Amino acid sequence: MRILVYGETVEWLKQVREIAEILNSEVYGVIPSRELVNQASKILDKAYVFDGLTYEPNTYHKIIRRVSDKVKPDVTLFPSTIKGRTLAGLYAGEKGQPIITDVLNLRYIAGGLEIERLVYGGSCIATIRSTLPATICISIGAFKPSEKQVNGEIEYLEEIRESAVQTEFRSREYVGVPLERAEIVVAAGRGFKKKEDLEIVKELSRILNGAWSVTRPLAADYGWSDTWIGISGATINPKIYLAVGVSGQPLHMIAVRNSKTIIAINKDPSAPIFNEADYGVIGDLYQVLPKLLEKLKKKLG
Amino acid sequence: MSEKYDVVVVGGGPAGLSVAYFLADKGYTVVVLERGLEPGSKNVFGGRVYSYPLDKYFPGWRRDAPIERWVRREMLSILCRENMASIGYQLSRKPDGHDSFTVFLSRLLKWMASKVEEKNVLLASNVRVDEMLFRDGVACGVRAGEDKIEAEYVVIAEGANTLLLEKHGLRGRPSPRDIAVGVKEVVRVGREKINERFGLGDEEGLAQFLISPVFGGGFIYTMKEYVSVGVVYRLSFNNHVEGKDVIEELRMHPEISKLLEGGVPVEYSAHIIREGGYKDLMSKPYGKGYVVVGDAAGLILNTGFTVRGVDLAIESGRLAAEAITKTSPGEELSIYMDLLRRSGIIDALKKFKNVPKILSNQRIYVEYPDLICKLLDNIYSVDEFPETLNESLKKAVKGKTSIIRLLLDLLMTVRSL
Amino acid sequence: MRVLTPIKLTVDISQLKYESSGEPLIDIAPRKMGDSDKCAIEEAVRLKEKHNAHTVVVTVGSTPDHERMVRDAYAMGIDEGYIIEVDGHENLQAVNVGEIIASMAEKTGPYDLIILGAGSLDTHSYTLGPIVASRIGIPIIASVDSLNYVEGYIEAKSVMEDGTYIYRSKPPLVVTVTTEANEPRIPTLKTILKSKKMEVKRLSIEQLGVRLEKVGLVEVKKYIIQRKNIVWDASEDFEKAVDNLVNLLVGEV
Repeated sequence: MRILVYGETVEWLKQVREIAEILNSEVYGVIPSRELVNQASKILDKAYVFDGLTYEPNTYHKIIRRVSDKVKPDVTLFPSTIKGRTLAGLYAGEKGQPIITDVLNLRYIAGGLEIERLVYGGSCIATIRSTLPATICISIGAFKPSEKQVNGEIEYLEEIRESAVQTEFRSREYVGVPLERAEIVVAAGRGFKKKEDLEIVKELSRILNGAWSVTRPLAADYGWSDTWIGISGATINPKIYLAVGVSGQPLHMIAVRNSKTIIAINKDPSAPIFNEADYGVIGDLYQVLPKLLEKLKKKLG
Repeated sequence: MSEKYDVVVVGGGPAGLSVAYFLADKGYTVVVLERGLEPGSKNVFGGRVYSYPLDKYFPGWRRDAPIERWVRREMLSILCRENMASIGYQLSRKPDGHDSFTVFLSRLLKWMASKVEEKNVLLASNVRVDEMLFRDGVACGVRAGEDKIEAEYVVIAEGANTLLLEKHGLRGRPSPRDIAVGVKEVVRVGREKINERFGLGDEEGLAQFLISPVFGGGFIYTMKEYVSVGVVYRLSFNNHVEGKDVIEELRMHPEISKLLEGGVPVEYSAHIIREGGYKDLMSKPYGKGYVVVGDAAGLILNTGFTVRGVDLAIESGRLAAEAITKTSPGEELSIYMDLLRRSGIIDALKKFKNVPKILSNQRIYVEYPDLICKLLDNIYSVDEFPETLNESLKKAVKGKTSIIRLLLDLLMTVRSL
Repeated sequence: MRVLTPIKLTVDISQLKYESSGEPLIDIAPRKMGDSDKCAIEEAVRLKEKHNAHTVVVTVGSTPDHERMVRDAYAMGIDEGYIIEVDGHENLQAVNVGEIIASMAEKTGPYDLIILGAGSLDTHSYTLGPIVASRIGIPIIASVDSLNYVEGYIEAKSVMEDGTYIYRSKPPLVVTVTTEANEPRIPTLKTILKSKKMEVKRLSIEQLGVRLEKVGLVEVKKYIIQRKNIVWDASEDFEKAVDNLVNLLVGEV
């Protein structure tokens, strides 16, 4: 079997290597940045690399299609991020293949794959059988990264420039530990009353050597942050996820489901997040956080 | 610009849909305005409907209406602390006779709505009517937000929550004494388990009336796959309780929890019920260009064991339709009241007029059930030396209430039922 | 300008209940139009108001709920609506739905814009728009938080995890919008009554010449997350609750 993957991060490619081991397959990758070449070549059997193109799904799709024509994969993998889903949709639509998103697990069976996927906002798992070839979006963090190293090939692709859609990109600056790689993530939700109050969350994440973020309304509606955690933002799988004043809406929770331990602080005892947390404190964050910070400082020096 | 119809009906419940059905049948252009997302979404009811008005007016309804089960077993039960005392009554089949069936009201209304729409009635959901419009003292339409609808006749079928009638001073706010709160939970138990636990055949249903010293009155109805359990409690006493807790308490009762074991609650609802009976009936449910039908007019028959609203709503809707066909635009629709009287509905309400008073008597729900429980407990507890019935009764009554009081209450209850 | 908006009937997840075995009670869960679909309709209707667009909706599946949904779209201001009759619409593969919509668009079009809600909560998350785009063979602008039509160009902004993307392109295009794009209007009595009188057109998949391939669904179960669900109430013992948090965060538990 042959797997083709679209890969933007090393963590993701390592998870794909794990899948390749499970399916006993060769894995080929389309890599959108030269910066990843060194590591990608140790993870993938072959990396097709392009560079210098701002993300624009129609253009990226053309490149993936071109590689696919060479590789002729049985399974094409994308991460279940917005970008990944968009590219997967374009790909599956063109190939007329089944497309399955939010996949947690898969195994080879005669004639195809048996797949476990999240449905209904992440509240249910459906087991489905799919024929091959198929396009599959993997839920981030569903597979543990494989540390296996290979000696893969590299091929640089010619750029495709012509696109019907002009794109301008304004990137954000990352400060501190990137969200996707942090072992502890502290997130602020609607329980916070004003932007300045987020300072304590930032300080908390600094002390814990972790990252901080917010839920979508705080970023998209109030503009208190550029990034957020949620199905439309970042998907995370840290060791500890500390949710402060976060109610636990499905679109948020689906993005943190693979956290090892979920801890919630919320003053509403009926907040749905308590049902999905390992530990919870019912209390006013404006009282709990300062005390927590004080005690942590004492403990950690 | 405003639209013009012969009739505008406010409320898409059983009463409103029934008026629309009968008038459209006679060729009137009718529009029904429903506040909820779809007809029935604001209704809460136990689960039983009496079939006679459907038999009379919707030929062939038994074939395609969403009937769950036909009620073949009636039960009256007193819930003691851990035990239950019941009287059961098994009904034999009456295929074309007057009987009752269990149903999800939302599904019955969806079905009625489809019948009504077949007759070209416009049914608009998610519309909140803000006021009735009058011209020279004659109702001539309604306003909803910025939009107005003109009509020759206005039918108020807004249900128990009479916001529109109150706004126009046609009806006062009910006093808390006349209001009960109905809370209901629908539990998915599964058809086979229901048949087995309640001793029912596939099409057979149970209607159980519950009396509890803890929460007052309640009910159980069996659907095909679901069991509907509910409590009706008065605001005048028990006002410290909350609906969800009451239902929880009922479900936790050992005898009830046996019946629901392994079931999944799939729906919870709470709603105001006007229980005022004859006293709460509008003395003049009509005026120039308008009529009031169903619950909104106070047409609810509480016999003490059953509360009937849906059948009266359909019946009053039909009578309102008839009154409209017999009254010229702009005239008082007083024929409606005559028709209500002639139909026997008013007499029935009169006959049971004391029921609400009895039901508001705490002794009926609290002391006597308790007493009966104690009595039965004494009789059926196996002691070394059995007591006579008289001894048991005396022991049970002791310190609670006097035998004379008991007899007086009994007499009054019997007379009004 | 002609604008097509495919809309989907989805399971209302907030009201989903589960059997004690964990199996969701899909058959009794209420269905509703997706929130982002409503935003897509709103964008279409704004194009009608500002640029005189002719607006069309299409939905795949022919239950009474589907017809109600098309009428809801009419009540918001859509001009024309199609129901594609197909059995078992909830078991259709995303790629099948995409193909049905693409064929419908070719048969009733051409359309300058196809606007979809970016994601439905139940199954075909964020993939239907891209599938439709590549089936028809026109570009996509995906997951946009704002949309404008200026001098023959569509301009759109999409906020993503790594930054903001600003797209600009000439129709024909597929555009998917998020729930941030707008605040969908609430129909008024007048528009609701008008919606009741409008015709809902019907097409079968045979008329569209679509053949469906099936991907088997074996079972659906509730995702059982083994969470510990240990909760401390800070109002009972504030110090202890905070101490517990400290221990968790420094890894002493």
